[in-house]
Amino acid sequence: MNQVFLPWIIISSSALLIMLFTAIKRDHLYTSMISSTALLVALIAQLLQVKTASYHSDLIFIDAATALLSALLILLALLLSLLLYPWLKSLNEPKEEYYMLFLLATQGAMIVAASDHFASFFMGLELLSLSIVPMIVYQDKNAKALEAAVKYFVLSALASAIILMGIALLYFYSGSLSFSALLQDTAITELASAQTSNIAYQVAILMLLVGIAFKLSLVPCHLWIADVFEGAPLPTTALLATLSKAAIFVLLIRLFSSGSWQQYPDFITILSLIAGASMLLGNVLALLQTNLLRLLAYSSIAHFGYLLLAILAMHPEQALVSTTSLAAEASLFYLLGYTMTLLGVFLILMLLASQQSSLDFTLERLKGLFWIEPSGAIVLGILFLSLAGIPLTIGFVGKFYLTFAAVNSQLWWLLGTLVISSLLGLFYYLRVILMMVEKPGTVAQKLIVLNPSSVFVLSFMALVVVGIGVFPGPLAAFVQSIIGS
Amino acid sequence: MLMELIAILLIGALLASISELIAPALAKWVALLSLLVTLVPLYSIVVLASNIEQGGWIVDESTLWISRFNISLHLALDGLSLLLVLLTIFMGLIAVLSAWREITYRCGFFYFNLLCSLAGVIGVFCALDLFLFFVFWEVMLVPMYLMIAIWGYDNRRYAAIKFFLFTQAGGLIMLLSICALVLLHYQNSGQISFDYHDLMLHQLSEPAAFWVMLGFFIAFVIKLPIVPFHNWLPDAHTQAPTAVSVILAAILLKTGGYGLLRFALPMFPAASAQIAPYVMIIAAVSIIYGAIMAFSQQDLKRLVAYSSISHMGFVLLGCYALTPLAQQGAVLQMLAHGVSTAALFALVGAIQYRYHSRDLAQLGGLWQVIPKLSAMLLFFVIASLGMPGLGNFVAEFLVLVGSFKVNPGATIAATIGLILAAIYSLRIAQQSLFGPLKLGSSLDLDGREILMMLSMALLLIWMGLHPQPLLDLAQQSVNLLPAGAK
Repeated sequence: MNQVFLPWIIISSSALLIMLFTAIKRDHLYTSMISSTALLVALIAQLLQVKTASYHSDLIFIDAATALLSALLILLALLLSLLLYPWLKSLNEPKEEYYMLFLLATQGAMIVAASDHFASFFMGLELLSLSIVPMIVYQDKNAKALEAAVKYFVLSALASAIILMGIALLYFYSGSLSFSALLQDTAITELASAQTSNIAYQVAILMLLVGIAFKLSLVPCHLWIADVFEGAPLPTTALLATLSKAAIFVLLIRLFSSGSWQQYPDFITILSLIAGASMLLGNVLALLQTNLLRLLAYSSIAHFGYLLLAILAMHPEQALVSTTSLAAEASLFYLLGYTMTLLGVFLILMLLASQQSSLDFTLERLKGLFWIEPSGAIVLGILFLSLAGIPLTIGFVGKFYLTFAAVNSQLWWLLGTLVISSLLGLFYYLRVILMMVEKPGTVAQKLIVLNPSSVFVLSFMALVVVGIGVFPGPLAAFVQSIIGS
Repeated sequence: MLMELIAILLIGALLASISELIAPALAKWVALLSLLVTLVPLYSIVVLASNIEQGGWIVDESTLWISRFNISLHLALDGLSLLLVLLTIFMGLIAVLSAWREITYRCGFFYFNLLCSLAGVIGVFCALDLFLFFVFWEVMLVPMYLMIAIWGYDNRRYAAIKFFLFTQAGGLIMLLSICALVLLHYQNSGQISFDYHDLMLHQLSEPAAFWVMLGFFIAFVIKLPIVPFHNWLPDAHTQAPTAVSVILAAILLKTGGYGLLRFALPMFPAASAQIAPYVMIIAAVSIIYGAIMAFSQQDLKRLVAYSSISHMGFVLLGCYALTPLAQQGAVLQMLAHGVSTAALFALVGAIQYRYHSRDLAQLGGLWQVIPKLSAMLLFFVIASLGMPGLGNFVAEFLVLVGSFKVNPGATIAATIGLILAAIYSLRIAQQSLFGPLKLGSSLDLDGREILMMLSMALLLIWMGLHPQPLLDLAQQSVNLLPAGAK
């Protein structure tokens, strides 16, 4: 067994440990500590081997870039797990199972990100999605959560079925389920032209795209996301919005940075349309929302539209400068910036929610937050500026990379769409900030109780978002050394 | 030295926001003090400037920032930048003084934002790395936005968002242009660089130069602002508190003119020359449109805001006449307009503080009760209409002389703007100062306000009577413009 699997072993064995432990004696605090410690150890183990990681088998492919992105996934899970304890403590439900599901979902995400075969991909995907379903409906007396869970489960199963059908067709056509083998095929021009004219191949690719677009909630497969975001408990939503989407995107980055996709013009066109439509529609729909969670849901559609731009920039018809790694670095930075920022937003919302009985996050509830609870509001404000891509935040670094890569690949129409949709996006992000600096209403109450873990998480988020925003240099050089090599 | 300048303001901003916890009244003193402290590095810069030969950079400091893209913290100062930095600090002092009484709600955070935006503007005037320039360009918006959104008048939210969106639209387009410029330079030279000097070495070829130039141009004229991108300005000014109006009119609009002179013109001389005739026509339209709109306003602040649009038209006209004379006029116009319009906004703010109204129809006969304020208002109104002997006249005259031989049509049209300026300016004086007294209050200017007004008045008189030192400083930069050398 190779040491690259050490983080995996730690995470899955701690999930099993929690399962056993719960069967013998339920103890919320210990369970919480086990899961956080396991994630921390896994993160350290993962970070230690980022530079040296190299493993390739039929099912799994891990190189330095994948290892780095896996570290990001573990980091997201770790930060989230730190705030699970206070939230779960306030619930009248059995608590320990949530940690188990949480760790399993993390494991699933890591498998997806490192998969090199449709079998491992599908297994990871199902582990991820199926763990999330019970996490959505964890409070079983909540009608909205129930609705969200049913919606997510049915649609997710449908998407999985479509992916399976696509896999089957692809196997029927090519006789291989390995990503590496399929990617090698794309590089052969004759084969590529044969493939693009073959109906079975086209349908298979289309079906896979539909499935992936569903998981990433890209237009036109985005209808589920707002209801799930609104109905699901906040930690689950956070997991879904960051970890689960990021894992699938990590895989996409890898698949795209190695094939020769420019030989498939139809495919590129469809992807461009999806990207453009997601950016515009996501932001337009977000404009209309008065519920913060729905707003974040639609903005997440738009952000993954932006991310697709980075993917598309990897295979330009004509680049200004031929750099191999710029677009891959851009997608990584944007993904890092967006997931960290969004996770931060969710963590603050969790702090707000743990003091309130109702889970209704209307924008009104943030009114005057800045004057009542400055520390939380300042961090939230910075995070929203980061989502909007204002300089000196990590969001801007991502956006700058993205623009740079897209200009290099001369994706002018998509860049035009990016400008317009960024402006739309800015409008509603500013509205949130505006709401926070409004003069507070009559009911002025302390919303956040600061305990050590929440202080740590808040300051860590602010530090990451502003720190990398102001000094992106070292990280940029590090990422370049990993991806460029 | 420039880093210190910016650092002093940022530290001052932090101190101001902390000092509120001790005593709310302390914040304004901290703000005032930190602005005064900046005079120390500024003084040594001015001393350096007086020793230096014609042309070249007075201060030039650079530190590597992001090695991946070869981006550095490159701050430098030449005559043009120095003039604008001096204007920024001076107007910052005026803004703090004019907010002295008006801002009572959470003043610590207000002065924090004020100083941060000043730091951002100074960064814009000094940055010679395009990435850094963009960062400052965007960052200075956030505190401005917050100041309008929190301390503004009734319709402040709408105005604040509109202000931010317009500028951000320009900013994003400029970001695309910067990326394209850098990548094209990379393609030509094989090295990636955001540095101004490096990028100047390789002139882009057509048609890429045109599109890249257009991105910069749009961003800058939105900021100036020029018709048809002017829409944000009247709202922002009307809703902003006095101090913010002062900053907005005196400094923020100048970043647009500065951008044109520093980046758009020298980097793309051929493309600029190509669009110059059209731009001059747009400038003339802007001058006349702004003047006509100013004439039809009832709200004093809106009136002054539209007059700003008209005056900034002269800056654009001067920049694109592509003659050294007109460009010097444009620089002088930026300074003179900065002072005179800021003074007008401060006076309108003072009137509003006393009468809770800016409506021309409700005011009248102020001279009978508050003669000092009225005299000052009359002085600055006359300055803004371009009375010989004051700064605005010299500036507008230079612009018109410099542009006449290039584009007589647009210049003559712009001259009509001067007549219209006389009409709307005198209307301010006539309707508010003379006639029957409508609102009673006899609180005249106090010592603080007199100090503000007199210093601005003296500055304008100095600019009008002896503009040569300013022109010399500006000349260094203007002569560097390749198009200007013709």
